[in-house]
Amino acid sequence: MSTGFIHFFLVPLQATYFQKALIAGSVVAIACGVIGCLVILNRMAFLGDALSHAMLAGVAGGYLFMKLVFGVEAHSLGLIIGSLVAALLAVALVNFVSLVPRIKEDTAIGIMYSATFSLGLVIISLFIDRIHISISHFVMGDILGVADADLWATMLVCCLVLSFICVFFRHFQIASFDPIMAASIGIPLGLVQSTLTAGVALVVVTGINMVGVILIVGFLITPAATAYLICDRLARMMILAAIFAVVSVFGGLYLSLLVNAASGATIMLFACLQFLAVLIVAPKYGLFARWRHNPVGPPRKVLKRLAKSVSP
Amino acid sequence: MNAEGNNVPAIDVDNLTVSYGGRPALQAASFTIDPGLMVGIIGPNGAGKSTLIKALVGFVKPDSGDIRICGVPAHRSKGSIAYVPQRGALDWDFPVTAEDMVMMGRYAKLTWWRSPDATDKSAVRAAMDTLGIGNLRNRPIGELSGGQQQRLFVARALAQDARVLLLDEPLAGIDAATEKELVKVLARARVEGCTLLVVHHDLATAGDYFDRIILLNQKLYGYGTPQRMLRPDILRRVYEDKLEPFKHPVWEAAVS
Repeated sequence: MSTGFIHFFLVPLQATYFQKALIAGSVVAIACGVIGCLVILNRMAFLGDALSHAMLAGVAGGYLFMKLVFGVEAHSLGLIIGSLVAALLAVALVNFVSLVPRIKEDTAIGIMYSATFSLGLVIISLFIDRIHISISHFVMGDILGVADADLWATMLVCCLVLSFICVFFRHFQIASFDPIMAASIGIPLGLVQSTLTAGVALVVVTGINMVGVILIVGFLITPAATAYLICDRLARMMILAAIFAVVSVFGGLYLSLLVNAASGATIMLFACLQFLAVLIVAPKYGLFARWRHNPVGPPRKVLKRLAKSVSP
Repeated sequence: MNAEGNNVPAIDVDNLTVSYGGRPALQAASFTIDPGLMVGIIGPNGAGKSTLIKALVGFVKPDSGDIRICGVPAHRSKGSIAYVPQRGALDWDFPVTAEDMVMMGRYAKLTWWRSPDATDKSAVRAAMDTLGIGNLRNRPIGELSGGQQQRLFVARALAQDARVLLLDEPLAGIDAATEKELVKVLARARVEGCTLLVVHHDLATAGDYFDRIILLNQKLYGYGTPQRMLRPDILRRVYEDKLEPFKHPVWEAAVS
């Protein structure tokens, strides 16, 4: 029984594709978990969603550019830079539209989010004979089909983003917590904000390869939200979020093998179950803790008195 | 800092004009505040009180005018001003402890490659002890009471070595006991050498709390002692005749 159990964990590890999936998945998970903390604290989840959708245009544009100028197919650096440009363009568009006070930010994001995604679809359909991007790959991701070049690009990008967050941790912390104070001590708020957005865009680009455009936002915020239920310090929250995210990748990948299901979706589902479990049992901010402190419904004394008054 | 430190005004505002999206919020305001004073900013809603504070902090860009903090132009005086936002403006669920938050006051002095060292830590500890919240060091900020949160802000300003404290309605929405306590805390900050500029709503208490009053409604209506500023004829102009009658010795003496 126990050997069978160990067998279940060891056998997939011998397959290169599974190793790559674990490594690439974990790297993206760590980056997503860490930057996800800043995303939820800055309430950027919706913006992250918009960024990920804008990337279809970026991927298509990057693909087309590399193909037409250099004649290479699906060059991963080209795709990453293209996506980054598209993401920053989407943010610029959102900010531009928000200049009119009547259009609130979420409205602006909603408009630009669908517009950029449509732009991507239009580009791809216009150049259908030149661009060989499968939309389903973009939407669902393919963590089991990670190519070596993607793996390296992912590692490079994630390390870059993580080291930026480590070095400028204080800047990100204070700019998210108390922007006016940050401005008063000379922290360039605009620069910090755009760096954060660029970081999110980079992580999202690499993550789309793994879990796809729809799930990436969940991957960005779910482990961070899970950690948020337990932590009272930002640094610890980031570390814990990274751990939760890596656990989801491992758990989700094995689970997808076990039940033979789509791996990206299984990873997300695992992350969500993990979140729900923590939501219930978290010692301070969990549901159990809340119920213990203020039970739902009127207190027993009142109920007793009520029962007495009703009974003859 | 310098030998003539006491002669340099803490805040010197000259002809300051600020507008939001074409709408003027503050027009040609000029005043000079000497160091060590506790000054109340008074005016109706939408008078530009918060705007003035945000301009002083450098969070909004003035259209024109000149701001000097302790003799230094505002945009170069980073860190000498501490800003205490309205309590509701912060996310108290943010994952920082009380000590973390006071440490943010030290960020002004830290370059990006330097982490807080022993000096910073002892400054934080000293500031928290001064305000009597040393025992709350490791508590998440969300667990603190309103009064403790206000002390935290002042401790952060002390840790920052700020010369000027700007407070945006610190006395709004707190009970009478906490208000008394907080006024003591502010007096304590003044003892530590700070100049305080406080946005305030309650005309009845303004005379007791502040050394000087700034009357504001889009433009500056006056700057001076409470006795000179809190007069019905002036207040009526500032509040455009929408002022509710209120009981205050200064007011009643003037009316009778």
